[in-house]
Amino acid sequence: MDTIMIQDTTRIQGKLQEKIDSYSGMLFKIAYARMGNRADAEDIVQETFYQYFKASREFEDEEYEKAWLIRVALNGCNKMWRSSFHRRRSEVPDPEQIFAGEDQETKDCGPEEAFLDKEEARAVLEAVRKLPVTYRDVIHLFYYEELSVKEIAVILERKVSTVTSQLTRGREILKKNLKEEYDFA
Amino acid sequence: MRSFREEYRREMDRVGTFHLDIERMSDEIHHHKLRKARRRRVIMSAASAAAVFLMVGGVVTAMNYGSSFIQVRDNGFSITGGKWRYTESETGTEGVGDAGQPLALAKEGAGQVPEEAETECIVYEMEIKEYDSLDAFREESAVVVPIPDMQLVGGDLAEQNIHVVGNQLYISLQDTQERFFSIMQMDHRESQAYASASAYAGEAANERNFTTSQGYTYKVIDIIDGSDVSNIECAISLFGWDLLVGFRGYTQEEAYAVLQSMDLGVYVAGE
Repeated sequence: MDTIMIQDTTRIQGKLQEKIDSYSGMLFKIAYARMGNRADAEDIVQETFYQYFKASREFEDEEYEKAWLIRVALNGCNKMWRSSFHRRRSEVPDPEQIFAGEDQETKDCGPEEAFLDKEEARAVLEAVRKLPVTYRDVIHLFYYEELSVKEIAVILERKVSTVTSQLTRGREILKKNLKEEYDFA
Repeated sequence: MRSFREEYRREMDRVGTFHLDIERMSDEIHHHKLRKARRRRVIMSAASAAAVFLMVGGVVTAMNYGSSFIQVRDNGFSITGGKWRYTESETGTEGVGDAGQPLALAKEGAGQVPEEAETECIVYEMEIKEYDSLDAFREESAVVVPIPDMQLVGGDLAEQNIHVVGNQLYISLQDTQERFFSIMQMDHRESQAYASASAYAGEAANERNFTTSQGYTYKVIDIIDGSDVSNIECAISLFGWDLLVGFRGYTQEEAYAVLQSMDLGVYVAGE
Protein backbone atom coordinates (compact mmCIF):
# COMPACT_ATOMS: atom_id res chain seq x y z
CA MET A 1 0.00 0.00 0.00
CA ASP A 2 2.76 2.40 1.04
CA THR A 3 4.72 1.48 -2.07
CA ILE A 4 1.73 2.32 -4.30
CA MET A 5 1.28 5.68 -2.59
CA ILE A 6 4.95 6.56 -2.97
CA GLN A 7 4.84 5.58 -6.64
CA ASP A 8 1.72 7.70 -7.11
CA THR A 9 3.27 10.71 -5.39
CA THR A 10 6.41 10.34 -7.46
CA ARG A 11 4.33 10.14 -10.63
CA ILE A 12 2.36 13.29 -9.73
CA GLN A 13 5.53 15.13 -8.84
CA GLY A 14 7.15 14.04 -12.08
CA LYS A 15 4.13 15.28 -14.04
CA LEU A 16 4.16 18.59 -12.23
CA GLN A 17 7.88 19.01 -12.79
CA GLU A 18 7.25 18.50 -16.49
CA LYS A 19 4.66 21.26 -16.45
CA ILE A 20 7.00 23.52 -14.53
CA ASP A 21 9.77 22.87 -17.02
CA SER A 22 7.41 23.54 -19.92
CA TYR A 23 5.76 26.70 -18.67
CA SER A 24 7.90 28.36 -16.02
CA GLY A 25 10.01 30.26 -18.57
CA MET A 26 6.94 31.63 -20.31
CA LEU A 27 5.22 32.58 -17.06
CA PHE A 28 8.38 34.17 -15.71
CA LYS A 29 8.66 36.39 -18.80
CA ILE A 30 4.99 37.36 -18.62
CA ALA A 31 5.33 38.24 -14.95
CA TYR A 32 8.61 40.06 -15.55
CA ALA A 33 7.08 42.11 -18.37
CA ARG A 34 4.33 43.15 -16.01
CA MET A 35 6.24 43.61 -12.75
CA GLY A 36 9.63 44.77 -14.02
CA ASN A 37 11.76 42.86 -11.53
CA ARG A 38 12.90 39.31 -10.98
CA ALA A 39 11.90 38.91 -7.36
CA ASP A 40 8.23 39.66 -8.02
CA ALA A 41 8.24 37.61 -11.22
CA GLU A 42 9.69 34.61 -9.37
CA ASP A 43 7.10 34.92 -6.63
CA ILE A 44 4.34 34.99 -9.21
CA VAL A 45 5.63 31.91 -11.03
CA GLN A 46 5.91 30.10 -7.73
CA GLU A 47 2.41 31.14 -6.72
CA THR A 48 0.99 30.15 -10.11
CA PHE A 49 2.35 26.63 -9.89
CA TYR A 50 1.26 26.41 -6.30
CA GLN A 51 -2.30 27.23 -7.44
CA TYR A 52 -1.94 24.68 -10.23
CA PHE A 53 -0.74 22.07 -7.74
CA LYS A 54 -3.56 22.88 -5.35
CA ALA A 55 -6.27 22.96 -8.00
CA SER A 56 -5.29 19.52 -9.39
CA ARG A 57 -7.69 20.00 -12.25
CA GLU A 58 -7.92 18.20 -15.54
CA PHE A 59 -7.69 20.34 -18.66
CA GLU A 60 -9.30 19.63 -22.01
CA ASP A 61 -6.03 20.13 -23.81
CA GLU A 62 -2.66 21.82 -23.49
CA GLU A 63 -3.86 25.11 -24.94
CA TYR A 64 -6.53 25.32 -22.31
CA GLU A 65 -4.01 24.52 -19.63
CA LYS A 66 -1.59 27.14 -20.93
CA ALA A 67 -4.36 29.75 -21.01
CA TRP A 68 -5.32 28.90 -17.42
CA LEU A 69 -1.73 29.24 -16.23
CA ILE A 70 -1.28 32.60 -17.95
CA ARG A 71 -4.53 33.87 -16.45
CA VAL A 72 -3.51 32.79 -12.96
CA ALA A 73 -0.10 34.43 -13.41
CA LEU A 74 -1.67 37.69 -14.61
CA ASN A 75 -4.14 37.64 -11.74
CA GLY A 76 -1.17 37.19 -9.43
CA CYS A 77 0.44 40.25 -11.04
CA ASN A 78 -2.79 42.23 -10.53
CA LYS A 79 -2.92 41.23 -6.92
CA MET A 80 0.67 42.23 -6.33
CA TRP A 81 0.22 45.54 -8.15
CA ARG A 82 -2.76 46.38 -6.03
CA SER A 83 -1.00 45.81 -2.77
CA SER A 84 0.01 49.06 -1.21
CA PHE A 85 3.34 47.57 -0.33
CA HIS A 86 4.22 47.12 -3.97
CA ARG A 87 2.81 50.40 -5.18
CA ARG A 88 4.66 52.39 -2.61
CA ARG A 89 7.91 50.69 -2.17
CA SER A 90 10.90 52.45 -3.55
CA GLU A 91 12.32 51.42 -6.86
CA VAL A 92 15.30 49.42 -5.75
CA PRO A 93 17.74 48.37 -8.43
CA ASP A 94 17.34 44.68 -9.14
CA PRO A 95 20.60 42.98 -8.14
CA GLU A 96 20.19 40.44 -10.92
CA GLN A 97 19.26 43.08 -13.42
CA ILE A 98 18.13 42.41 -16.88
CA PHE A 99 21.54 42.87 -18.34
CA ALA A 100 22.95 39.87 -16.57
CA GLY A 101 24.47 38.67 -19.83
CA GLU A 102 26.00 41.97 -20.78
CA ASP A 103 29.52 41.17 -19.60
CA GLN A 104 29.94 38.48 -22.21
CA GLU A 105 28.41 40.64 -24.90
CA THR A 106 30.56 43.59 -23.96
CA LYS A 107 33.60 41.43 -24.62
CA ASP A 108 32.37 40.78 -28.15
CA CYS A 109 32.20 44.45 -29.16
CA GLY A 110 33.68 47.78 -28.27
CA PRO A 111 32.64 49.56 -25.08
CA GLU A 112 30.94 52.38 -26.98
CA GLU A 113 28.93 49.97 -29.11
CA ALA A 114 28.04 47.94 -26.05
CA PHE A 115 26.89 51.08 -24.26
CA LEU A 116 24.70 52.16 -27.17
CA ASP A 117 23.21 48.68 -27.51
CA LYS A 118 22.46 48.63 -23.85
CA GLU A 119 20.79 52.02 -23.94
CA GLU A 120 18.65 51.04 -26.92
CA ALA A 121 17.67 47.79 -25.26
CA ARG A 122 16.78 49.64 -22.11
CA ALA A 123 14.67 52.03 -24.17
CA VAL A 124 12.63 49.18 -25.69
CA LEU A 125 11.98 47.45 -22.37
CA GLU A 126 11.34 50.75 -20.63
CA ALA A 127 8.88 51.79 -23.31
CA VAL A 128 6.94 48.55 -22.83
CA ARG A 129 7.08 48.89 -19.06
CA LYS A 130 5.63 52.37 -19.28
CA LEU A 131 2.57 51.18 -21.15
CA PRO A 132 -0.69 50.91 -19.23
CA VAL A 133 -1.02 47.39 -17.86
CA THR A 134 -3.79 46.32 -20.23
CA TYR A 135 -1.69 47.21 -23.29
CA ARG A 136 1.48 45.78 -21.80
CA ASP A 137 0.02 42.29 -21.45
CA VAL A 138 -1.30 42.32 -24.99
CA ILE A 139 1.97 43.61 -26.44
CA HIS A 140 4.00 40.99 -24.59
CA LEU A 141 1.74 38.09 -25.54
CA PHE A 142 1.67 39.21 -29.17
CA TYR A 143 5.33 40.07 -29.70
CA TYR A 144 7.07 37.72 -27.32
CA GLU A 145 4.78 34.73 -27.02
CA GLU A 146 3.71 35.21 -30.63
CA LEU A 147 0.09 34.48 -29.85
CA SER A 148 -2.63 35.54 -32.25
CA VAL A 149 -5.16 38.21 -31.34
CA LYS A 150 -7.78 35.47 -31.05
CA GLU A 151 -5.62 33.42 -28.68
CA ILE A 152 -4.89 36.49 -26.57
CA ALA A 153 -8.60 37.28 -26.40
CA VAL A 154 -9.32 33.77 -25.08
CA ILE A 155 -6.53 33.93 -22.51
CA LEU A 156 -7.39 37.40 -21.26
CA GLU A 157 -11.11 36.75 -21.52
CA ARG A 158 -11.60 39.85 -23.62
CA LYS A 159 -13.34 40.40 -26.94
CA VAL A 160 -11.23 40.04 -30.08
CA SER A 161 -12.14 43.62 -31.00
CA THR A 162 -10.96 44.82 -27.56
CA VAL A 163 -7.62 43.06 -27.91
CA THR A 164 -7.22 44.42 -31.44
CA SER A 165 -7.78 47.98 -30.30
CA GLN A 166 -5.51 47.52 -27.27
CA LEU A 167 -2.78 46.16 -29.53
CA THR A 168 -3.21 49.09 -31.90
CA ARG A 169 -3.20 51.62 -29.11
CA GLY A 170 -0.20 49.98 -27.45
CA ARG A 171 1.72 50.11 -30.72
CA GLU A 172 0.84 53.77 -31.20
CA ILE A 173 2.18 54.67 -27.77
CA LEU A 174 5.33 52.62 -28.35
CA LYS A 175 5.90 54.21 -31.76
CA LYS A 176 5.60 57.64 -30.23
CA ASN A 177 7.83 56.86 -27.26
CA LEU A 178 10.44 55.08 -29.36
CA LYS A 179 10.49 57.96 -31.83
CA GLU A 180 9.26 55.95 -34.82
CA GLU A 181 12.50 53.99 -34.95
CA TYR A 182 10.96 50.54 -35.01
CA ASP A 183 8.92 48.46 -37.36
CA PHE A 184 6.00 46.87 -35.49
CA ALA A 185 5.04 44.19 -37.99
CA MET B 1 14.13 50.36 -39.61
CA ARG B 2 14.70 47.88 -36.79
CA SER B 3 12.17 45.26 -35.88
CA PHE B 4 10.50 45.90 -32.56
CA ARG B 5 9.58 42.22 -32.32
CA GLU B 6 13.19 41.09 -32.66
CA GLU B 7 14.56 43.75 -30.34
CA TYR B 8 11.95 43.06 -27.67
CA ARG B 9 12.40 39.30 -27.90
CA ARG B 10 16.16 39.66 -27.71
CA GLU B 11 15.98 41.84 -24.62
CA MET B 12 13.40 39.67 -22.91
CA ASP B 13 15.60 36.64 -23.58
CA ARG B 14 18.43 38.39 -21.81
CA VAL B 15 16.28 38.67 -18.72
CA GLY B 16 16.97 34.98 -18.20
CA THR B 17 14.65 32.46 -16.68
CA PHE B 18 13.68 30.97 -13.38
CA HIS B 19 14.08 27.37 -12.34
CA LEU B 20 11.56 26.03 -9.91
CA ASP B 21 12.10 22.76 -8.10
CA ILE B 22 9.12 20.46 -7.53
CA GLU B 23 10.42 19.54 -4.08
CA ARG B 24 9.74 23.09 -3.01
CA MET B 25 6.38 23.35 -4.70
CA SER B 26 4.90 20.31 -3.04
CA ASP B 27 5.63 21.61 0.41
CA GLU B 28 3.09 24.31 1.16
CA ILE B 29 4.81 25.52 4.30
CA HIS B 30 8.13 25.81 2.58
CA HIS B 31 6.47 27.64 -0.28
CA HIS B 32 5.01 30.29 1.99
CA LYS B 33 8.21 30.56 3.98
CA LEU B 34 10.03 31.22 0.74
CA ARG B 35 7.61 33.95 -0.24
CA LYS B 36 7.86 35.54 3.15
CA ALA B 37 11.64 35.42 3.05
CA ARG B 38 11.69 37.00 -0.38
CA ARG B 39 9.23 39.70 0.63
CA ARG B 40 11.29 40.39 3.71
CA ARG B 41 14.40 40.75 1.56
CA VAL B 42 12.70 43.20 -0.77
CA ILE B 43 11.30 45.21 2.12
CA MET B 44 14.76 45.33 3.62
CA SER B 45 16.31 46.67 0.44
CA ALA B 46 13.50 49.18 -0.08
CA ALA B 47 13.68 50.28 3.51
CA SER B 48 17.44 50.67 3.43
CA ALA B 49 17.20 52.86 0.34
CA ALA B 50 14.52 54.97 1.96
CA ALA B 51 16.45 55.20 5.17
CA VAL B 52 19.54 56.57 3.47
CA PHE B 53 17.44 59.21 1.82
CA LEU B 54 15.46 60.10 4.87
CA MET B 55 18.56 60.52 6.99
CA VAL B 56 19.89 63.30 4.80
CA GLY B 57 20.00 66.39 6.91
CA GLY B 58 20.90 64.69 10.14
CA VAL B 59 19.06 64.04 13.34
CA VAL B 60 18.37 66.53 16.06
CA THR B 61 16.01 66.60 18.95
CA ALA B 62 14.25 69.87 18.14
CA MET B 63 11.90 70.25 15.24
CA ASN B 64 9.18 72.56 14.03
CA TYR B 65 6.33 70.08 13.54
CA GLY B 66 4.14 72.46 11.64
CA SER B 67 6.41 72.94 8.64
CA SER B 68 5.61 69.95 6.45
CA PHE B 69 4.57 70.49 2.88
CA ILE B 70 2.68 68.10 0.57
CA GLN B 71 2.97 68.43 -3.16
CA VAL B 72 1.11 66.43 -5.79
CA ARG B 73 3.42 65.14 -8.49
CA ASP B 74 2.88 63.32 -11.79
CA ASN B 75 2.21 59.99 -10.16
CA GLY B 76 2.03 60.55 -6.44
CA PHE B 77 2.87 62.79 -3.55
CA SER B 78 6.07 64.28 -2.27
CA ILE B 79 6.27 65.46 1.28
CA THR B 80 8.95 67.63 2.81
CA GLY B 81 9.23 68.61 6.39
CA GLY B 82 11.46 70.11 9.02
CA LYS B 83 13.60 73.19 8.61
CA TRP B 84 14.36 72.52 4.96
CA ARG B 85 11.86 72.59 2.18
CA TYR B 86 11.63 73.29 -1.54
CA THR B 87 12.34 76.69 -2.87
CA GLU B 88 9.70 78.30 -5.06
CA SER B 89 11.65 77.58 -8.23
CA GLU B 90 11.84 73.89 -7.41
CA THR B 91 8.13 73.46 -7.02
CA GLY B 92 7.71 74.35 -10.67
CA THR B 93 9.11 72.34 -13.54
CA GLU B 94 12.62 73.58 -13.06
CA GLY B 95 14.58 71.46 -10.65
CA VAL B 96 11.97 68.74 -10.54
CA GLY B 97 13.44 65.25 -10.76
CA ASP B 98 11.97 62.19 -12.44
CA ALA B 99 8.35 61.44 -11.69
CA GLY B 100 8.01 59.89 -8.29
CA GLN B 101 11.52 60.74 -7.26
CA PRO B 102 12.06 63.05 -4.35
CA LEU B 103 13.18 66.53 -5.15
CA ALA B 104 16.44 67.83 -3.83
CA LEU B 105 16.16 69.45 -0.47
CA ALA B 106 16.84 73.11 -0.42
CA LYS B 107 17.34 75.48 2.41
CA GLU B 108 14.42 77.80 2.78
CA GLY B 109 15.29 81.15 1.28
CA ALA B 110 18.76 80.12 0.19
CA GLY B 111 17.84 77.76 -2.62
CA GLN B 112 20.83 75.47 -2.12
CA VAL B 113 21.34 72.12 -0.54
CA PRO B 114 23.46 72.52 2.58
CA GLU B 115 26.86 70.89 2.25
CA GLU B 116 26.43 68.59 5.18
CA ALA B 117 23.29 67.17 3.58
CA GLU B 118 25.39 65.68 0.82
CA THR B 119 28.06 64.26 3.05
CA GLU B 120 26.06 62.78 5.87
CA CYS B 121 24.77 59.37 4.95
CA ILE B 122 24.02 56.84 7.60
CA VAL B 123 23.16 53.28 6.68
CA TYR B 124 21.76 51.02 9.34
CA GLU B 125 19.84 47.82 9.47
CA MET B 126 16.13 48.25 9.95
CA GLU B 127 14.14 46.18 12.34
CA ILE B 128 11.28 44.54 10.46
CA LYS B 129 8.20 43.07 12.04
CA GLU B 130 5.44 41.41 10.11
CA TYR B 131 1.88 40.64 11.25
CA ASP B 132 -0.78 38.77 9.37
CA SER B 133 -3.72 40.38 11.14
CA LEU B 134 -4.66 43.71 12.63
CA ASP B 135 -5.56 41.92 15.84
CA ALA B 136 -2.05 40.52 16.11
CA PHE B 137 -0.58 43.93 15.33
CA ARG B 138 -2.72 45.64 17.98
CA GLU B 139 -1.82 43.01 20.52
CA GLU B 140 1.93 42.96 19.95
CA SER B 141 2.92 46.34 18.58
CA ALA B 142 3.24 49.65 20.35
CA VAL B 143 3.22 51.64 17.09
CA VAL B 144 0.68 54.46 17.11
CA VAL B 145 -1.65 54.49 14.10
CA PRO B 146 -5.16 55.80 13.45
CA ILE B 147 -7.09 52.60 12.71
CA PRO B 148 -10.35 53.25 10.82
CA ASP B 149 -13.76 51.76 11.49
CA MET B 150 -13.27 48.30 10.02
CA GLN B 151 -16.93 47.98 9.10
CA LEU B 152 -16.44 50.93 6.76
CA VAL B 153 -13.27 49.41 5.33
CA GLY B 154 -15.10 46.25 4.42
CA GLY B 155 -16.01 44.04 7.33
CA ASP B 156 -14.91 40.66 6.00
CA LEU B 157 -11.23 40.78 5.21
CA ALA B 158 -9.70 38.26 2.86
CA GLU B 159 -6.11 39.35 3.42
CA GLN B 160 -4.28 41.41 5.99
CA ASN B 161 -0.62 42.36 5.82
CA ILE B 162 1.05 44.61 8.31
CA HIS B 163 4.74 45.47 8.24
CA VAL B 164 6.64 47.66 10.63
CA VAL B 165 9.92 48.67 9.05
CA GLY B 166 11.96 50.90 11.28
CA ASN B 167 9.89 54.05 11.71
CA GLN B 168 7.51 53.14 8.90
CA LEU B 169 4.29 51.20 9.05
CA TYR B 170 2.53 49.56 6.11
CA ILE B 171 -0.97 48.18 6.42
CA SER B 172 -2.60 46.48 3.46
CA LEU B 173 -6.10 45.03 3.71
CA GLN B 174 -8.20 43.33 1.08
CA ASP B 175 -11.85 42.56 1.62
CA THR B 176 -13.84 39.72 0.11
CA GLN B 177 -15.08 42.02 -2.67
CA GLU B 178 -11.48 42.51 -3.85
CA ARG B 179 -11.31 46.06 -2.55
CA PHE B 180 -7.96 47.22 -1.26
CA PHE B 181 -7.30 49.60 1.57
CA SER B 182 -3.83 50.65 2.61
CA ILE B 183 -2.04 52.84 5.08
CA MET B 184 1.56 53.91 5.00
CA GLN B 185 2.72 55.86 8.00
CA MET B 186 6.14 57.41 8.52
CA ASP B 187 7.39 58.84 11.76
CA HIS B 188 9.74 61.76 11.10
CA ARG B 189 9.57 63.30 14.54
CA GLU B 190 13.27 62.78 15.13
CA SER B 191 14.31 64.24 11.78
CA GLN B 192 15.55 67.74 11.34
CA ALA B 193 14.58 67.56 7.70
CA TYR B 194 13.14 64.97 5.39
CA ALA B 195 11.60 64.46 2.02
CA SER B 196 9.65 61.44 0.92
CA ALA B 197 7.86 60.53 -2.27
CA SER B 198 5.22 58.02 -3.18
CA ALA B 199 4.68 56.76 -6.70
CA TYR B 200 1.64 54.92 -7.95
CA ALA B 201 0.97 52.91 -11.09
CA GLY B 202 -0.79 55.60 -13.10
CA GLU B 203 -1.12 59.34 -13.31
CA ALA B 204 -2.21 61.62 -10.51
CA ALA B 205 -5.28 63.71 -11.30
CA ASN B 206 -8.17 65.62 -9.71
CA GLU B 207 -6.18 67.07 -6.83
CA ARG B 208 -8.50 68.16 -4.02
CA ASN B 209 -8.74 68.47 -0.25
CA PHE B 210 -10.84 66.64 2.26
CA THR B 211 -11.24 68.08 5.74
CA THR B 212 -12.36 65.79 8.52
CA SER B 213 -14.71 66.75 11.31
CA GLN B 214 -11.60 66.96 13.52
CA GLY B 215 -10.40 69.77 11.28
CA TYR B 216 -7.51 67.93 9.64
CA THR B 217 -7.16 68.32 5.87
CA TYR B 218 -6.00 65.52 3.58
CA LYS B 219 -4.63 66.13 0.11
CA VAL B 220 -6.55 63.74 -2.18
CA ILE B 221 -5.82 62.58 -5.72
CA ASP B 222 -7.20 60.04 -8.17
CA ILE B 223 -4.76 57.70 -9.86
CA ILE B 224 -5.64 57.18 -13.49
CA ASP B 225 -4.54 54.01 -15.25
CA GLY B 226 -5.50 54.20 -18.92
CA SER B 227 -8.72 56.15 -18.79
CA ASP B 228 -10.10 54.82 -15.52
CA VAL B 229 -9.66 55.92 -11.94
CA SER B 230 -7.82 52.96 -10.44
CA ASN B 231 -7.52 54.24 -6.91
CA ILE B 232 -7.96 57.19 -4.60
CA GLU B 233 -4.90 58.24 -2.64
CA CYS B 234 -4.84 60.60 0.32
CA ALA B 235 -1.96 62.21 2.16
CA ILE B 236 -1.67 64.18 5.34
CA SER B 237 1.31 65.31 7.37
CA LEU B 238 1.10 66.49 10.93
CA PHE B 239 3.27 66.70 14.02
CA GLY B 240 6.13 64.93 12.29
CA TRP B 241 3.99 62.04 11.05
CA ASP B 242 3.22 61.43 7.37
CA LEU B 243 0.19 59.34 6.60
CA LEU B 244 -0.76 58.00 3.16
CA VAL B 245 -4.09 56.26 2.82
CA GLY B 246 -5.06 54.39 -0.34
CA PHE B 247 -8.35 53.04 -1.62
CA ARG B 248 -8.97 50.79 -4.58
CA GLY B 249 -12.49 49.71 -5.44
CA TYR B 250 -14.05 52.28 -3.13
CA THR B 251 -16.23 55.22 -4.13
CA GLN B 252 -15.13 58.66 -3.02
CA GLU B 253 -17.94 58.74 -0.45
CA GLU B 254 -16.83 55.39 0.99
CA ALA B 255 -13.22 56.56 1.08
CA TYR B 256 -14.11 59.80 2.84
CA ALA B 257 -16.21 57.91 5.37
CA VAL B 258 -13.19 55.74 6.18
CA LEU B 259 -10.95 58.81 6.51
CA GLN B 260 -13.53 60.41 8.74
CA SER B 261 -13.42 57.40 11.04
CA MET B 262 -9.64 57.61 11.50
CA ASP B 263 -8.82 59.44 14.70
CA LEU B 264 -5.78 61.59 13.93
CA GLY B 265 -5.84 62.72 17.52
CA VAL B 266 -3.63 59.71 18.26
CA TYR B 267 -0.72 61.71 16.88
CA VAL B 268 -1.43 64.59 19.24
CA ALA B 269 -1.86 62.21 22.15
CA GLY B 270 1.57 60.79 21.38
CA GLU B 271 3.24 64.18 21.84
